[in-house]
Amino acid sequence: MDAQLTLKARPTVIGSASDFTYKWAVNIGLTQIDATRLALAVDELVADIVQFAYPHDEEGTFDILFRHDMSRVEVTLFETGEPFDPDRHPYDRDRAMITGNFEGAGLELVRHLVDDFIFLNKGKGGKEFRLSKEIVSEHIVDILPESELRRNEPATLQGGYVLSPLKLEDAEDIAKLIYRNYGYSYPKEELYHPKKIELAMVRKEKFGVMVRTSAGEPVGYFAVMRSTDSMIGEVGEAVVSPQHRRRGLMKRMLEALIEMAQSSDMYALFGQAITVHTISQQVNQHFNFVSCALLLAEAPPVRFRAINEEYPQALSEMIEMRILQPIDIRKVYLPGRYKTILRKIYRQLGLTISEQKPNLERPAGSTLLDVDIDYEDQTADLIVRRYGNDLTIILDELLPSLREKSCNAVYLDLPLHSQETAIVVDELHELGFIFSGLMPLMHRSQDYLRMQLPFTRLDMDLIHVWSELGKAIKDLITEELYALYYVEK
Amino acid sequence: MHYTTSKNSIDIQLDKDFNLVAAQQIDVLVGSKNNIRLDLTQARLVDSEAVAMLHRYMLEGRRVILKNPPKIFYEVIRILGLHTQWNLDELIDPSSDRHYSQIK
Repeated sequence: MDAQLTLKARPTVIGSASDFTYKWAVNIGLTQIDATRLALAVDELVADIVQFAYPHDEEGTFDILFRHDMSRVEVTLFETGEPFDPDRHPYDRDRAMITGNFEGAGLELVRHLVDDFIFLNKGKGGKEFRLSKEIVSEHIVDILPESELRRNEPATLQGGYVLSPLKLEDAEDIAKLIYRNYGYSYPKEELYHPKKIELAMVRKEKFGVMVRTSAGEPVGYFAVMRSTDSMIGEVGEAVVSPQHRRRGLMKRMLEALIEMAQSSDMYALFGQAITVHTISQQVNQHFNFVSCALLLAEAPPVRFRAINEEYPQALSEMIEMRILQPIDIRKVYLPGRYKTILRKIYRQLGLTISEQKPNLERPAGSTLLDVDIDYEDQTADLIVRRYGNDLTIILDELLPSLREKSCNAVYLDLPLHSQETAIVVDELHELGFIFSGLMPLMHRSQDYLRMQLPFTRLDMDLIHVWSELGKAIKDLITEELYALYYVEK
Repeated sequence: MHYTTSKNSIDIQLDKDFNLVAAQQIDVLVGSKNNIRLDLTQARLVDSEAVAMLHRYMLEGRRVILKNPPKIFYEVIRILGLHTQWNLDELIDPSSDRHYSQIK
């Protein structure tokens, strides 16, 4: 998160909130007109909050959170005022024209001014209004001529490769490589935009390696994305030109990345391997990555075109992790239901745990729940930062909103260092959540149990898993899935 | 906010965005005057509260002229379906630097 404003619900804050939004958006990389649109959307929502959220409380406050990644900016307004449902306040142009009643006009503008507008009702936990806009920059196909984009490197070269750490000047070559090898089908849209790649390097959001022929032609790229809230990195962007495959380049690059990650004091690397086939999982295992979690419906099927196969359902991915440094003993509260599998995963990762017994019956206070929406993958990540006695109530209110927004799946991360995790899992199971896996060091270097709720039906036979541990994870998930949702195997 | 006023007219130069707060302040200054001229050169935004106030003035038969509304103003009235209902030739001061005829 870039910034958080906590404001009193008074009209005097409207101008400041929209001014800050505009400046922040421009600095992040939005065009002036898109920043203005976003600022106006914020203006409209703030005006509604100051007028209607706290009619009897002069001290009511609300928060505005500002976040961005390489592709998008996201502004979230959060308030705990009067109940509200945007769908009950539609704008009617004819009514406005005739009577001057412009009810709903503000929300009508908001919907048109941003790329995505999501309203999340968290019940007693408050309400969130999320605004998202894409950061526009030049696509590689608009920068280079077709002849340059389509040109293939000589395929007969043997052994004459140079592997080097990424530099800013590599940005255009990375985009070229991605386009040459995947056309428009690579899932990370930002890799087609040299400026976005550059910005990510300048901001130290990623590091990586480039492989070139001795003639300087780019033939391979592999990068690690730094986690924003933990000392771990995701091994996530990889491409080798087809003419240069089966020459060990992917393995050389991954070796180099592991070395770079180790010397940068990262605790661990993890990768998300697709389960349409097991090739990536096999490569990962060769480098001692351990299966930790299986994420069902993590990405829409339409994005997978790289290997000329039709895949008939949302893509599921296996999270695999390699620990890079000695890690302190993990004091964890393991839920009874998942003790066996979690112990197995910890053991294979080489992590030592000290199992604690919870002494609370129910959590107290109110829950602090982070909601992170992946607009491209159509999933939502929920992270429990602090337990309260209202977690299941909040989730009960929130899940329908997420389902309506065409989420394929919701992932819920529960802190294993909190004793409440050992208690609430059974209640979450009743809400429909099933096992996903262990997410070690995932947030603020703490371990989390990930549960998941897929909204889409899946054929588990189409999900291919390589390692024995991965199969054990899949078996547990399949068992829970069929018990909760499916009638027959 | 600067303004000059006569018996039935007011000329206001807005020094900020034309939002809820500005609309409320303008409404107080305008009172019952029938000829209203708003200079929006310094405004980056015009929001739905401002648009609603302008429409109310027009319904009441008052004459409103806007000078240099920001580009976003035209987008707002298009989204709200007012661009075909309002007479922009009468509404927008033709001497505006940011005239709608120049907006693509």
